[in-house]
Amino acid sequence: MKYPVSTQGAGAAAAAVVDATKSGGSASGAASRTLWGDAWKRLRQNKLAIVAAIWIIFVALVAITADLWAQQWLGSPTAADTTAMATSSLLPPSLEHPFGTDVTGRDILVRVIYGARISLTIGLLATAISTVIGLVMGALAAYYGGIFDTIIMRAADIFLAFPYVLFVLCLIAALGQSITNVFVAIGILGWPSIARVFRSAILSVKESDYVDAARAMGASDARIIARHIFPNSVASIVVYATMNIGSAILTEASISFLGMGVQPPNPSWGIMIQDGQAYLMTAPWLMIMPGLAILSTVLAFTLLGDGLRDALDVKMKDA
Amino acid sequence: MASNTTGAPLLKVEHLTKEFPAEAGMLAGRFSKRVVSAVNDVSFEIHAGETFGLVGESGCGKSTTGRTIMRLTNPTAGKVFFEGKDVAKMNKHELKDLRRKMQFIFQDPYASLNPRMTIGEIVSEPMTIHNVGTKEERMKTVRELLDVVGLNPEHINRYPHEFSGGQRQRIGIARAFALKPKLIICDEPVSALDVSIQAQVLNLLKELQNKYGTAYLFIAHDLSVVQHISDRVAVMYLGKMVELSDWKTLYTEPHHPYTQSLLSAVPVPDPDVQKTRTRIILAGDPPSPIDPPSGCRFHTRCPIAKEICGKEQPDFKQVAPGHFCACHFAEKFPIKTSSIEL
Repeated sequence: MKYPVSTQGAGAAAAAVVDATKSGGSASGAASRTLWGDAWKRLRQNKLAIVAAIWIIFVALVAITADLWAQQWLGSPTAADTTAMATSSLLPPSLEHPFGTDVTGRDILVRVIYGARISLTIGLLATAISTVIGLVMGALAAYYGGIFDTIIMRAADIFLAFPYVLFVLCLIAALGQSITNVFVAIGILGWPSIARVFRSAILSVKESDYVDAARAMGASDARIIARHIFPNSVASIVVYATMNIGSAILTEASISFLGMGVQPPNPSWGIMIQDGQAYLMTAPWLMIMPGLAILSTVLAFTLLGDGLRDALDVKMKDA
Repeated sequence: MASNTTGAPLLKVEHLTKEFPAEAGMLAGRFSKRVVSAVNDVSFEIHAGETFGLVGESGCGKSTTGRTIMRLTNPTAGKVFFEGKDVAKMNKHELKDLRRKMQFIFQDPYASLNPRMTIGEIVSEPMTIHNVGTKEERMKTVRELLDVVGLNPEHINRYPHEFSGGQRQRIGIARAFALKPKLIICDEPVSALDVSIQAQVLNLLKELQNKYGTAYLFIAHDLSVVQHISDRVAVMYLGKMVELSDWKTLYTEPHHPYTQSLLSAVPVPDPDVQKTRTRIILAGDPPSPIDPPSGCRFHTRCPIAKEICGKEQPDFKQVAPGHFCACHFAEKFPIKTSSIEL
């Protein structure tokens, strides 16, 4: 039984499962397969997740290469056009300025592009920090249990009991205002939910018969963790972290909107919305364009996370 | 089944006791000393190449006995000797050697295979852990094992979820035999399977035993399953062993009232016999192992219980050669009725 091509997936896969003992016949499942290869096959069938992934890659490429072309085309994202303010201020979207211009005559598109740099950087770095802390805490709590578990999980509960944005604001106020501190603050405060997810994943795997089986075979702790516990608990973290990037972007936007994040004239999607709110009636594109950027990117991360969850679930029928 | 009951036993269990704290969490055992007495003073021996059946209803401690012998949990008291060596006193090196000679087959074929490993990885894992052969040799052995247990060796790169329950249990069996162990603890290996598949798997276990001379500790809650495979059978009730004998005697002349009631519940495939025979129905549920009854643990449900049963624990004594029973009346009033056709 070769992997059936995508369109006939379900039926052929079901046939593979009921495939009776020792039949097989022409079956050649002997072709080498890897877990990630299989996951990729399943992910490819999820159109929505693929669209989301393409969008994320597109936004990332645009943000990374912006210095090479964006300013020549659309002008500087930060410098206010003081000389020709009357002529270039608050222009509606046009061929020359696809997203329109803001009150100081800066092109909105170029600001959205440079804003993507900040949003994606913060999303990725903050999630990286949360994930590393969360993984360590979750693993400690689950593996050692007892007093470790109690302390770490109660600490997580306390963190989760505070209003999140308020907590981030306080931390930024304490650390001092800078882009670095924004993602450090978001990252540090994001660990409890990741720790919880990872802890419960490890606990359920740790109690499973196949871990007992490995112990009965004489496997070392290191082997049990590396071969059994980690591969079976890490999928939930990959999924959770992907979705977390979206929420970190959202948090940065909120913080910047409230004036505690990225400082003007640097562009950030949150700041642009804040700048635009005064012109909501007269020049709505000031808010709509960065708003759409946030919406589409956060949605893309959520959809990709969803797709990954299905793709990484080994019990889902094959691609 | 060539069982060699003379000479030194392969496995010797002496007064094995396992208790768990009755409360979970931070304060467990701080304020009260309530324990679940899962296994209480159980002793038996298993000889090389024989099948020792261990029967009892759920919660009677039979699985805990198996897990404690395997040292998946440590015993509260008592000793386990494997090839004459005390398992509890083994150092890391000796323990690893023990793991090589003693394997486990699990009840749930869905939970006992790592869903993220291929069949080849699963079956070769014991060999990998114990550094047996090169990678190519191991894969060759895996193919042979898959063939022996009746699976297609071509399926080596498939994942467990692509197999049915019976096939998965065959994979578990192949894994247990990978190191050619001397003893395999089978913890209800067929109770999660369809009846038609049960017979296939039992026959496979028998075949493999004839081929490799492995001894089994066969744990089950079903006397008719144990009957098919065991040389000797022990019956457990609420953490205690109540009767132990060779299987034929146990099925034809059960001494303990609990064994008799269990046997009376086994359906007989002959409707005429089934109609006439009397069924001993026990009243009530098994008592809680947190607070087991005084004296004989079975006296609260025993149809022949007398005053002494609530006061004194009966000894586990020999009533006939090789036949042990823990009942005050086992010798005085052996009932010895059984309607099981052999």
